[in-house]
Amino acid sequence: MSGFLTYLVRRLVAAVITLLGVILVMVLLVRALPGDPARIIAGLQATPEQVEQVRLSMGLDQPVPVQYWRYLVNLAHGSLGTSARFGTSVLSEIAHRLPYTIVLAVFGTLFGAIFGIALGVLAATHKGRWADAFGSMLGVAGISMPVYWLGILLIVLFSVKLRLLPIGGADTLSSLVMPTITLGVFSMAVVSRMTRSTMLDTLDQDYVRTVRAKGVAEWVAVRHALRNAFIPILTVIGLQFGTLLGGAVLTETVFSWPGIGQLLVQSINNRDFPLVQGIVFVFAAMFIVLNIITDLLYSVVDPRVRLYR
Amino acid sequence: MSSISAVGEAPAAPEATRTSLRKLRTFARNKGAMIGIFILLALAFAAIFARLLTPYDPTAQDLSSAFLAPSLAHPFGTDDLGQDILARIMYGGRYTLAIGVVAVSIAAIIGVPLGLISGYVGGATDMVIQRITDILLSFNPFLLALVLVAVFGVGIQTVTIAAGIGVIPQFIRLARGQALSLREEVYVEAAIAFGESSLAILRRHVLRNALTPILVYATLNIGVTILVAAGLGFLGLGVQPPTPEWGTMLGTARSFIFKASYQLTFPGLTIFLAVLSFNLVGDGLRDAFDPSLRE
Amino acid sequence: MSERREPLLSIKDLRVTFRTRTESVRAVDGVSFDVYPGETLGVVGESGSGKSVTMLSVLRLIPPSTRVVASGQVLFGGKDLLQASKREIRRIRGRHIALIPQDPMTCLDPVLRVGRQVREAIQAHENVAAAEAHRRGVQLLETVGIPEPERHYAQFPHEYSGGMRQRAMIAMGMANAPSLLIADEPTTALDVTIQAQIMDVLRAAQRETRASMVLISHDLGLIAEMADRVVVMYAGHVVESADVQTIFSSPRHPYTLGLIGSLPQTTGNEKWLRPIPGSPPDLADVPSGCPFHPRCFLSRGREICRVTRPELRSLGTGEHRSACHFVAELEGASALPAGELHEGAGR
Repeated sequence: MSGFLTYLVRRLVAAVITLLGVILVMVLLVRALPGDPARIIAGLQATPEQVEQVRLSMGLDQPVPVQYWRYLVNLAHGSLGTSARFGTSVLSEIAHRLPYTIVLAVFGTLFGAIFGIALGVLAATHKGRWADAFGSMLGVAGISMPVYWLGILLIVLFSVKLRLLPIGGADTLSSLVMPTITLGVFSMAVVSRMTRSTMLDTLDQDYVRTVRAKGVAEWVAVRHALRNAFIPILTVIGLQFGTLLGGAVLTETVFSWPGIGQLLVQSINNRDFPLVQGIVFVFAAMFIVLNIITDLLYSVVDPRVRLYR
Repeated sequence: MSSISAVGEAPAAPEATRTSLRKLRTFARNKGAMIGIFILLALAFAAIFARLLTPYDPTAQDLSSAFLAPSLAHPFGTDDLGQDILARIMYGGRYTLAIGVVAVSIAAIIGVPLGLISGYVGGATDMVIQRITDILLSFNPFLLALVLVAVFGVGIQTVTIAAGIGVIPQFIRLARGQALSLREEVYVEAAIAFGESSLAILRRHVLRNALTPILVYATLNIGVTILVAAGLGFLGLGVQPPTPEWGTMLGTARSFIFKASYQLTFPGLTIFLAVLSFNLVGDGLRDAFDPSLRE
Repeated sequence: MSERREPLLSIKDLRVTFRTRTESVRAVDGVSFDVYPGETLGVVGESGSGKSVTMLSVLRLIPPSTRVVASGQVLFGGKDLLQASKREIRRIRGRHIALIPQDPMTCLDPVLRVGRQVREAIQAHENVAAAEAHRRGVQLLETVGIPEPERHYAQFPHEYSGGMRQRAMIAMGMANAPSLLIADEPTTALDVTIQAQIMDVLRAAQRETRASMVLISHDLGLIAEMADRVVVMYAGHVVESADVQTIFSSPRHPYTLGLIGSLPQTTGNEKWLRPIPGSPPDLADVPSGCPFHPRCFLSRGREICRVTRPELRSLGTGEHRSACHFVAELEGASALPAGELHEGAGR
């Protein structure tokens, strides 16, 4: 167990280093704003006092290392700075919108995992037949689909034409249907492609032949093969989570879903860089945490995996 | 020097020609890839010869003919400013396709050397480059591009560079893996033993052998960069109107979702088809030339 | 063993062809033999001789991803298994015919506890409660000589040694007291020191279930020790079959002779090896006529060997059959008492 702890600590240290890098990149980018960053962030109508206020609060009057250090110190005290537009704490702005994004991300990932695995299994067990061709087509179409266009098509179909689902917002559970599909289709495609290729391999393994030799139904053999295919499937779910978060920005915008993705686009339009910094930091953290979780799940899925190497 | 090349190439030459021919045949038999090539050629043809193929100017506004549904005169209809959508899509291919190709080239030019060095040199260099890759990866391509245009402003150049930077990690990882595995190959070991400089080895042996997978990856990533660039355009943060970039067209048309949903159909469909084609061709190239890259 | 009885399993003119896009490979080409109740039949041959493919086709366990065409008949309990429905073949697998595979390292599902896999074998054919299945599973592990069966029942395959895994495979094989065990090179992948133990377990399992056994092996020593009758296969054909004494004392096919000759033997103090020249044929390109003729010391360029495939013919004495044009020339060839072989190659 202590070995496991060592592993976890090592992973967390690596995660912290990556996040420090993300923050550094954001600080440098704000500095790189053409002209006077404080002026841009404060806005065109800002009074000189307001500009100075922004300059001071973001540490833009200091050298980069000092500004970076101050950001970190603030972060350690639980602060991500002050929104230039709203004058409120960035953390609280994010906090009451983050749950929406998490819900959407969870549903999108689940949608992608469930339907992706189902589709991949179907294709692998019907290799060379129409179900396989259909699955492969759906797979490549799914990774090629612009999420924003898919969202729009769904709105046109279900809201404008059929009037079945709300066009946007987050008022009822039915508001979640289209955003989930929109966001999940890409994951579904990636997962189904990975599931298919891994299952084709595991279905031919000797241990699956052993299972068949016992005289069980074919689906039992397929279940054995699927269990053994889980590690690459988990890996790909973790890796595409980044793309999924990127997709969340677009999905939330299309459906007016009040998460931090929509807030990010608004903040960029408002040139509210403290808020942009904070949201990007949260997105990066979500990605890193999810990948640690998928790695930890390896040992649940496969008893041979020892995480303390 | 010649003796070293002899180890790697000379005896294999006729055999190699035959295998690449066979791979080419495998590729040519891939229906999806052929469909993809056909669509891409059609899109490129329409973009290049747009002036000859459509009587309309893609940026000529004519409010009297705004919001016309698809008809014989305007097969894809007109937009809110009375611009012919088909003409805009044809001319728009010049931007969207070029952004995809140029962005991936930028990513490959930056990412491949970094990855090769990372894998070949190893040690601290490798660790630093890997950390940078991790940082870029935790942004993901779209978010990174979004932040970059937020800082450096919208416009076709920024968007191209931003989309390209987003996929750099892909190339670093790929090239690093190739360098790691090729370092173990006999002919590279021989070259080291013969005292060739690291740079020469990287260029002569490692890069040349990594070229096929890099090409496959590049093709697959053109799709990603097109999606990213068009996504920026959709948010109004990409190529700016009146330039007829497909994503930007989609973003503008979004306001008229109730009034004129046909305006949303064709730009989106074209983006989808372009990305699909690059992915089909990339899949086909991978299956024929480098099946080991299969996910 | 030559008393007239109804065969338990009867393979008639089995042909198995693997197809790829460019070529088709006939791995089994017109194989016929019977397995009688209670006996152990040894199937001998080099790798690629079609012995495993033959037995896997009996259970229709050729990997589903390969395009394979099988013709002929496999009669078991009055039913042709090649024609049986998926449901019927499932009822036979594990319950009436069990497979003990070659490599126990790859044949156990690595992500499930061994006990669960043993239980699965029981529950595939019997509706028993979990607790009862557990009890019987543990008992099975004990029967095959796994120490602390209760503890090992809950372990994963990677916590087992190779020998223990093969014991577990045998436990699963005998779970439903099948009437036929197919053991496909059961000890090849194992350490020499535990091979003998595993064969003892296998023999005990067979005794307990009173099953027939088809023992596939390239190890003649093992065959001499275990089998009642022997079928020798070469390039997808049966080239000779007889009871074990006859095979070793008076082989009537040059290939069998070569196989026996290539065994390391103890003559006085020196050990010597006499391998068969050449190598087994590529199944995509099997020689014309007698498939063995390029390597045969009898053929010596005789045309008939190159042109005509010899039939498997009875030699008149008991069930001894051979497929050689010049079987008469082998009259009285090297007689090697099976007993001596035990010492020489039994390991």
